[in-house]
Amino acid sequence: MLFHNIKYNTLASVREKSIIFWLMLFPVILATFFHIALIGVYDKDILFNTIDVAVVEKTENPNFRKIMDSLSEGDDKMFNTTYADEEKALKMLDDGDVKGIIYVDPKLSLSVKAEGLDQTIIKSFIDQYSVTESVIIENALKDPGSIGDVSAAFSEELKANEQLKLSDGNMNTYMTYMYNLIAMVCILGTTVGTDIARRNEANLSSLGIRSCVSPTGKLTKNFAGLISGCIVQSVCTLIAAVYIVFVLRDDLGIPFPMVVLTSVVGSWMGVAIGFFFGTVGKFSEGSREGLSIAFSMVLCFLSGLMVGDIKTVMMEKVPWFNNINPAALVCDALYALNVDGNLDRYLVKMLTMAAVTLIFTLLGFIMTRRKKYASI
Amino acid sequence: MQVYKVFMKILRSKMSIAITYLAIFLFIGISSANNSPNQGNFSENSAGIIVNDLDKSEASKALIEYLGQSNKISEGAPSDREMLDGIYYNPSRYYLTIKEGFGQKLAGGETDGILAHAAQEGSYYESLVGSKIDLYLTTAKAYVAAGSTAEEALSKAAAALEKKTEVTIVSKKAEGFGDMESYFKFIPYIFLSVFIFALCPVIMTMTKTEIKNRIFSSSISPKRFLFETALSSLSFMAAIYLLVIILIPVFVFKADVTHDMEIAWLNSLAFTVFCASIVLFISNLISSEPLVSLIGNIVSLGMSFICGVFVPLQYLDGSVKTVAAFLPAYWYEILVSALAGSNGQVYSASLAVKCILIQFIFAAAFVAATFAVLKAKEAKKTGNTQNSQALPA
Repeated sequence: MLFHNIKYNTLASVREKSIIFWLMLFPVILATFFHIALIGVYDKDILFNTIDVAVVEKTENPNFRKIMDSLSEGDDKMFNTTYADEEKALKMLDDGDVKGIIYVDPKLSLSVKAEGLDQTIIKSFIDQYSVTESVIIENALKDPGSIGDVSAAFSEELKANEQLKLSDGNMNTYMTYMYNLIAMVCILGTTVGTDIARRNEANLSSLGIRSCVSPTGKLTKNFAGLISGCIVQSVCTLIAAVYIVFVLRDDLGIPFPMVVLTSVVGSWMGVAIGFFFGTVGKFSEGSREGLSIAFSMVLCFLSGLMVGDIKTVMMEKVPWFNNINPAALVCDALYALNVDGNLDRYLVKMLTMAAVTLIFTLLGFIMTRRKKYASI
Repeated sequence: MQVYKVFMKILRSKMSIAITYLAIFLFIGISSANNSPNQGNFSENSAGIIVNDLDKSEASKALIEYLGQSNKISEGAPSDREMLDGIYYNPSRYYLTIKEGFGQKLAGGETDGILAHAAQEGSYYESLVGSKIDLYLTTAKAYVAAGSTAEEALSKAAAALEKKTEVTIVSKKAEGFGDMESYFKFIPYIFLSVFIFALCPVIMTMTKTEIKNRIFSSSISPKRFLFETALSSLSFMAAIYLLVIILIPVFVFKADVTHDMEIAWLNSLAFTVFCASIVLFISNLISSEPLVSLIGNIVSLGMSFICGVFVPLQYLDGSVKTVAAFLPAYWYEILVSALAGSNGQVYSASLAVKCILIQFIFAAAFVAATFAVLKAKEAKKTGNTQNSQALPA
């Protein structure tokens, strides 16, 4: 009887249009949009790229030109320099071909169209040049014999600031959107869980009425419903994961079997939470479904699905919340797998997910037992 | 006005989703608009530097003070894991450890390994803060090499580094519109979502054959039905437009009604007209209500991601922008960016006319497509009727 129920519960779930849309199609569509719009932003917005700059030489400054030329050579050059007259340079700035115009007049100055990181770096470079020049001149005027030592101090390569290597993972911060997307599909499992309760509770649907008058025990029916729900939900989450990893080819920084494991455990957690929600209170079917979707989306919002910065805010203001927010648990587990060199943090997240699943499943079973209806 | 009343009654039952979208938009839009950067003088991008000063010498304090002039400084001793989380989720963060003996080594002209840092490798912020630190250290080292004592070298370096380059912003400054960019740029997403999710199901209900037959069996003429349905849709759209585009900017943001603001209103009006046309098209194209959710999400999210609503236009790939040029939200965003002087756009009257006109053309195209759909439906219906009449009794 258990397997019979599992089979038909699974078939019923798969035929639900809302499940096909929200759990299979919607994540795929959203992942495509994330991929198109966000994944490449890291290379353009976060990583340093060569900056296009125009130089207008109103007076000659061979030293400055020499430095600009040396910084505009090689594979990892700092600038793409174009020497131009003022009119041409302004046109290039207007057209967005250069980020700034450096005027050599003889004092250096900068013209930009807008504020930004590129412009700040150009300004920082000019500051650096001006300071170096003025310090050398100042010391040369005081003690001409010190020019060699002072110039050597500036030209010597500094090894003062060591970089700490903290992770070998993929540091693309925008990849959290993909982690959050997988978390969203897991947590949307609440709709599947709510549906299990709807099908088995006589006060929620006519299907529940029929189910209640059948001789199959409630425990068997709910247990079969949960197993089928977990299967369907896991498949849906894996479709999203497979799509992200193998179709979009986004580097989650995690071995795929670990993505599968995390997705499956996350999916079960979503179903268990939904199962509990389905058994609480006396809401109508529509309100219950609406509440479970709204609840899931709020959790996903707080985990950073819609606005990535929310995650940082939550980490700083209410760090404990990320340890109990189911969406953040899935997202953080994937993140820990990516950046940590060990499984300590990942195991804590996975155990918390398992505990949440167990607690909500037990609570759901407790809520469904010993119910009697005066009239069905 | 029976049809108008019925329309509004059905619309009320679909309002919850529109209110949810509006509430989220107003929360995000208002808070981000209030946090918009000051568009006045040039201000440098600053990193959030967390300093762990293990040396606590005069030299280390001087370095912190120097970095604090253009960055946000806080002190702390974070663990490796905290640093990792910090730089991953906030790439503008820079963790600097000033090692013990920093001051002493610097006084002796030795600089190797006196500092350590954690930042996103190869990032702008790593480069920016790194170059500032290098400049400070080399300047101090140069003064030491020139014969100054350590204390003298530090104070002279600090004085030398106070010199700043003069920066001129040459772009046309929008007359106060710059602050409103982060509010107006979300309009395509919110309008598409609100109008499609709220209006499509209502129009679909109103145009169901059964409902229509019942209405037309009464004294209400088809013309009056069409007029009242259109009027009720337009009054809903006008109310949302008035609230979001005019009242909130004027009364919440206290924005001045400048020429730029008027152009922004016109731009939003053109997009609202486009939304009306797409609502009409979707309502007539599909007959199942759950499909509205699918199509609504694809249209609103797709257009928003591709056309620069969620991600600034300057970060989108050239191929994405080429595709986006065939969508009206792209032209809406181009004009908003031009008004704000961002994303490399420069405002001109011809650009404004072009952007607004393109949106109206898209609207006209969708209205034409709706007529084509209606004609095809009518032809199919007539064909079916003729076939059933041709069948032998």
